[in-house]
Amino acid sequence: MAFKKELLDILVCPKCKGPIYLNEAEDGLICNKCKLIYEIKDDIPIMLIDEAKPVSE
Amino acid sequence: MSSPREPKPSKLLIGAFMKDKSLFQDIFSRLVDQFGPADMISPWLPFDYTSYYEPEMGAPLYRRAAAFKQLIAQERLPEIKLFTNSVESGFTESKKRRVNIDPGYMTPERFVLATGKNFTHRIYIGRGVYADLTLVYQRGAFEGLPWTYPDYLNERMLKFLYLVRNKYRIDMKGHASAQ
Repeated sequence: MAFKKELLDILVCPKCKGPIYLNEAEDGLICNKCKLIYEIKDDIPIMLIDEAKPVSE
Repeated sequence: MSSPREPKPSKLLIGAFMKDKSLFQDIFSRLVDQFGPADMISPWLPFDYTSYYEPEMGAPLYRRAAAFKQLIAQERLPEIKLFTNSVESGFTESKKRRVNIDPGYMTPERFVLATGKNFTHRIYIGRGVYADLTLVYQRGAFEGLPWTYPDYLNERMLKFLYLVRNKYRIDMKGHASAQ
């Protein structure tokens, strides 16, 4: 859990290079500006724009 | 007798520091055009461990690092260093660099930076480029060596590199199963 929160301190959104946030389920990193979610698989975030999913409103 | 073997592909990491953060996007686009997409990018980290670069680049300086998805052959490091030097040159103003770009690669065992400067511990790898063994992975963490630049020993940088290593290990499993 703490490890996932640490991700916020060491990664940025690959698209806008801005901050990211851990989603409620703690299985994705959200960029509010780009409205994209980067999935976390096996504790590794997949920080690829092509594999990010749009944040559902 | 040890038999020569092809080394495993490595993870390309490129760090850059600059005063004007707005340059990064343009620099980064050139790197992506050359090496493909980055799969991890660090936030800005302060680069305040030395004043060596201040006369040329100003202050304060900020560092950011990016890891690239596509794995590279380790012997490509000299060619990559020459490319990033050409990118640096493109951002020169009044004969002063506005960005310093440090390419390197990671394997499970180490993190190696390319440099044009010879020194006692650096190994020549061709085309005017030397390899600097910057970090070694031991006892579950990257560790510095007596000559390691302090910005690579920054706690957030080490956490970033640890995460990149974990991603790289997953990439390697995919690479092995594709062989």
